[in-house]
Amino acid sequence: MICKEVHKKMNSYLSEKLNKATFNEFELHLKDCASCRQIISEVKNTMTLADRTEELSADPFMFTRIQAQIENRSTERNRSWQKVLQPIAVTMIMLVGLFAGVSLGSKYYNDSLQLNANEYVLESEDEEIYLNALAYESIETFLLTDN
Amino acid sequence: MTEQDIVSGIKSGDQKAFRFLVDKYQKMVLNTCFQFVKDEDDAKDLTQDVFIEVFDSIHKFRGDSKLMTWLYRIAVNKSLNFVQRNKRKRLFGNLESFFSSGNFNDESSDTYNADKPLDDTERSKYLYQAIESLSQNQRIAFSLHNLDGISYAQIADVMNVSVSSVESLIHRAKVNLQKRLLDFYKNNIE
Ligand SMILES: [Zn+2]
Repeated sequence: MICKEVHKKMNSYLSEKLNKATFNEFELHLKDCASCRQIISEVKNTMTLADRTEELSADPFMFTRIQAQIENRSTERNRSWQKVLQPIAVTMIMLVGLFAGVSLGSKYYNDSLQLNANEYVLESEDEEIYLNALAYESIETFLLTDN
Repeated sequence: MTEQDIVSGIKSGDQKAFRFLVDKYQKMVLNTCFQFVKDEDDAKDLTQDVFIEVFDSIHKFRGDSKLMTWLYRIAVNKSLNFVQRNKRKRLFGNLESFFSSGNFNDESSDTYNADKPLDDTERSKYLYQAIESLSQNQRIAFSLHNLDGISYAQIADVMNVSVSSVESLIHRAKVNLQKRLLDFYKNNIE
């Protein structure tokens, strides 16, 4: 048997499907041919590796790492929500402020219209007294302390 | 803690239940991922992802299958996705050796020295490349059956096929691996 023929029969040989006569011829060739021998032995060696499983042992920090990643992720998610929500919130607050300003303004406007009709003068006198009272008071205390 | 306790515990936000699950199954998940990715650090990262996915989607678990089966499935899916992404990366990073086909897509395959026998690290690398070239179902069945203490019935559950399908997938995987390795060594040993 020549190498080419042996190559063709290698798979059957490894699967133990050769008849007795061919098997013997095959093995005879292997005895004399280093390269065919090496091919067969490497396939066998590699296949036995497939049955040998390397086992990893548990990582004592696995739970801590998982927990950290979950927590990390949830704060990141909050932060990204913040990024989206912040401009919306600011806009909302401004709108609320604007609306409140307009409605309060218009309320005062209405109120003052009503006041205007009856007690406008009185109201402005009261205001003046109050403001002046503050001014007097501060002068008085100033004088007292200086004493 | 029974399986039911663990599941309902996690659903109600009980941290102890989640910790129990991680402690109980992490070795199994880790080694499942390792079967597919063959790198310890990658397998650890994937294990982390698997449990986070469990944490996020525990409300979807209705108990139709066993908790362990569900874990295996998540681990297999995540690992295969990872391998797929990696392969794409390797493809783009390694176009040259991709086109010089005929042997495995590996930059070190041309440094093969026929005079000295390979060591097991090299052999494992070729084996892994051969495993990568299997059909997806053959690969899953073959990789899972290498795990410690898993039965054919369990593999059948995980893959949602019959036990006899699992047997035939594993058999075909072995036949194909042998063929691929033969082709590879024939091409590289003169
Ligand atoms: Zn020969």
